[in-house]
Amino acid sequence: MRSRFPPRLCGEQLQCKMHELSIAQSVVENAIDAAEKSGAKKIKSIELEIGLMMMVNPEQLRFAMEIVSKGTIADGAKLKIIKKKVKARCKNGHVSTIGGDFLHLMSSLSCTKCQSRDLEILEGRGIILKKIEAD
Amino acid sequence: MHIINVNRDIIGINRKIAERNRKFLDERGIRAVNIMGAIGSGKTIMIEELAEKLKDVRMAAIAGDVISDADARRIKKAGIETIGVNTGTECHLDAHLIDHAFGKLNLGGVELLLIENVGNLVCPTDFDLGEHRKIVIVSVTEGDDTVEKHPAIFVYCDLCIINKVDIADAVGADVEKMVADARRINPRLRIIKTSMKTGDGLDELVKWFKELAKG
Ligand SMILES: Nc1nc2c(ncn2[C@@H]2O[C@H](COP(=O)(O)OP(=O)(O)OP(=O)(O)O)[C@@H](O)[C@H]2O)c(=O)[nH]1
Ligand SMILES: [Mg+2]
Ligand SMILES: [Zn+2]
Repeated sequence: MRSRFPPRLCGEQLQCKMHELSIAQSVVENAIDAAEKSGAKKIKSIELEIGLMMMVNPEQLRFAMEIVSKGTIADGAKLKIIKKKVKARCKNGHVSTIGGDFLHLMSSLSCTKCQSRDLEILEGRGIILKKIEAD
Repeated sequence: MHIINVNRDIIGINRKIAERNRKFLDERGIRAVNIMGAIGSGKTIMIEELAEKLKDVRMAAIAGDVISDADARRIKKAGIETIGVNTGTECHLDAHLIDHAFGKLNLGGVELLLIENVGNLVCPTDFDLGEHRKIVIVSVTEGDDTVEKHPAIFVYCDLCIINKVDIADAVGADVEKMVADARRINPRLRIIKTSMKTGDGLDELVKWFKELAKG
């Protein structure tokens, strides 16, 4: 049963810090599973919503998805990434919605009203496989 | 061609298992700490120090390592009930691995569970294990810009340990810059400067763990 899924790659072989690899693996497995359940034979595109608080480099993720989907029905699927903004409450009670770029956002995260960095993160940590297009 | 709405939370499974782990620990009155940090920053030696200096708290440990069991052996030798967990292809522990480790540990009477994560400042950040506190250990040998370069992990942690202050001068690292960077990224962060070799800062560190375990 496992063989319809891509083989696990060693993060170390790919110079590790390749956090994206394990995410790509889960995404591809879930996409294949969803496609098979609806009787599809080929996945054309995959749409993901990723919270900006996730330590994800979109280019690495794209690359990792290419690798792990090789030889599966998700091979060559287009990846669309929707950035989900961070929602945070600062110590003064302001709730901000903060956009920006993955990874870079983290070093400048602050309340949009008072610039406080004393924040409680309310949203922005998930990775949701939203939808796939398939034949 | 048709569109399939999937709406699956890819890392939500980890979060669910983490919540289950936390409940498991809470029911037994165990407080768990996820110890993260750069490779070689001093995670294992800190646990060894705790084994020696925190005798009145009953501890157990889970030692995460990519392939070896070297850290698990060191911690066991220091007198703590320990299980090693190999992450293999993954560069971080996840909640599922911790769940399995629970089954192999004798947790009777344990008050404090120390979880040494894989040496890495990036990946563990996204994976909740079911712990009660997250701590990050960095050391001066990684360079005094290491905090600035890896802000995310500091956003989430409760305690930051800046280790190897005994050799800061020798490696030309500005410890106060590291403190300032960490404070700027997360004003709530508790910061303790330590040397596991000379014992600097260890009283404060031991107190932090003791208060967590007994509190
Ligand atoms: N001079 C000095 N050396 C230290 C200090 N703390 C740790 N070391 C040394 O740093 C090396 C790494 O320490 P470990 O405790 O193994 O570090 P670690 O974070 O567990 O390492 P990994 O699990 O491999 O990521 C050892 O050789 C320690 O003796 C310190 O405060 N000062
Ligand atoms: Mg270690
Ligand atoms: Zn504010």
